[in-house]
Amino acid sequence: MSQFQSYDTMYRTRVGLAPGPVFALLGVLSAVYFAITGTVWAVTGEFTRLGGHVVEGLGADVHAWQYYQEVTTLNGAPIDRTDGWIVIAMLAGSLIAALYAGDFRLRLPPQKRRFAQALAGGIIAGFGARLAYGCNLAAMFTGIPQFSLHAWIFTAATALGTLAGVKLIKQRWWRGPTRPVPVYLGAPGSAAGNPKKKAAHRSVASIVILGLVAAALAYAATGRGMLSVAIVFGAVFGILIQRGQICFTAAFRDLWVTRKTKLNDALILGLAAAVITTWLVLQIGGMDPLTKPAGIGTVIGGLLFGLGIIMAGACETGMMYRAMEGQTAAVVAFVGNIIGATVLAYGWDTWGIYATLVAPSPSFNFYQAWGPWPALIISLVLLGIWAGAVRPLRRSRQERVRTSTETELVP
Amino acid sequence: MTTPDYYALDLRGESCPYPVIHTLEALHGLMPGEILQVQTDCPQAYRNIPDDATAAGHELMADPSREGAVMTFLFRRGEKVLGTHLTQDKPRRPWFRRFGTTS
Repeated sequence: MSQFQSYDTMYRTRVGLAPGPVFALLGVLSAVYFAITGTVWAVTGEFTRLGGHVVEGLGADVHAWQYYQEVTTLNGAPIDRTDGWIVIAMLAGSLIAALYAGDFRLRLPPQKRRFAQALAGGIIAGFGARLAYGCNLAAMFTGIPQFSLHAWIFTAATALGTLAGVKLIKQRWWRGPTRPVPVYLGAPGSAAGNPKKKAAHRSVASIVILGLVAAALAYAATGRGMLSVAIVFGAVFGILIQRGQICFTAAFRDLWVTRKTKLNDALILGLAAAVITTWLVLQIGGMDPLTKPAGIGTVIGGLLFGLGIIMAGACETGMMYRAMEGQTAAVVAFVGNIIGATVLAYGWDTWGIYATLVAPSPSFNFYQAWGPWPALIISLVLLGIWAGAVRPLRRSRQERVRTSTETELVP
Repeated sequence: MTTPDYYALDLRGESCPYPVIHTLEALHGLMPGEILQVQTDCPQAYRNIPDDATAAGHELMADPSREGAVMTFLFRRGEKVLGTHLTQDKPRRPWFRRFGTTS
């Protein structure tokens, strides 16, 4: 039996891509995307717009909502916006990757409660994300490299939220019964995969690729190059997150459920790559970093987001690639996200959310307040502290693996 | 009643993180040395299940087999489960007993 050891396990299945390098690549690419388009890789802003389009279709005058006038404007259709194409291309990229790798399968949860859990979690996560001006992307993975304080607060609050969420999902009434079935007949057989299905999947994937390429070329030829950029980057992001199983939810959740730090460490690595590359972009391009308000709204948003993603089983990126792998519960979570984001947009002025939770919050940016070098150093130091904070978990896991066999671990 | 050759846990359709939680829970409930076959179609679980089950002291008996999008694992329940088991109830102590104790 092939043994592939790593620093936190004695056996690792070789499927897909290793998350560490993928996270690092995503970090660098997201910084390049910022350099070209001046916007960050983000999805929940577009989810709010999608919700706005739906509500508009139902007859309400959403353009009058303060949220759609000030935070995410609702001009045109998703295909007219880079953010719109990022979402479409990410979904397409994940679909292509899943189909090609044979990971696509229509998956219905055996326990129907999963749909309710995904919907509830999705709504809470969507609401919380927009309250904090972003999800694990804009308020974390692409927010921290912009040196905005709100992203650090959001990350910390999300970690706490996931802790609460894990306590919830471990309850037997939430997760449902575990019922191994005793088998009395011979050894398990394993049939080969269905070759016809695989060929059909790959054909669909090829068609989607052609569609993306055609759209990108058409936009480039008609002078709307930024949309082409969004298509290309979105597709690459989508492929990478599926092949690498890049799930921010799991990065936090694994810490609490099985004390596994692998994805958490990969996330830190990706953030470091993003911070350094974005810093270079800001220095070379002379651009201003993007900042969002940092205050009580960020904290509450992060807590809700962390709780919601655990309940739903996936975050904004995780849910997108899982939906494209055919996991129906993830599609329900997607719908929940859009609902939650739209509810927040509605309550922004109607319920006074902006006035009470966000308006008094300052926007603070390390880069602009303290200068480039202090901002870079402090950000990297904070990442180092984060990596150090999970060291007890990492070591206890290494210790367990070491004692379970006498095998030496790869350091 | 004869003992089963192995126990089968069909987790197809279950979304993250339940495949891992159910696998660890099932293994914990077996007697040491008993065999559990786990089927999952969650790509994240392809990595997590063998990682976490082996880290908990169980033995992966062979390379996992894959049939389309379904991966099958065979585990032998370890002598001792390592780490805090997921659903092990911590011994309940009344609040006034928690102070001044060493454990």
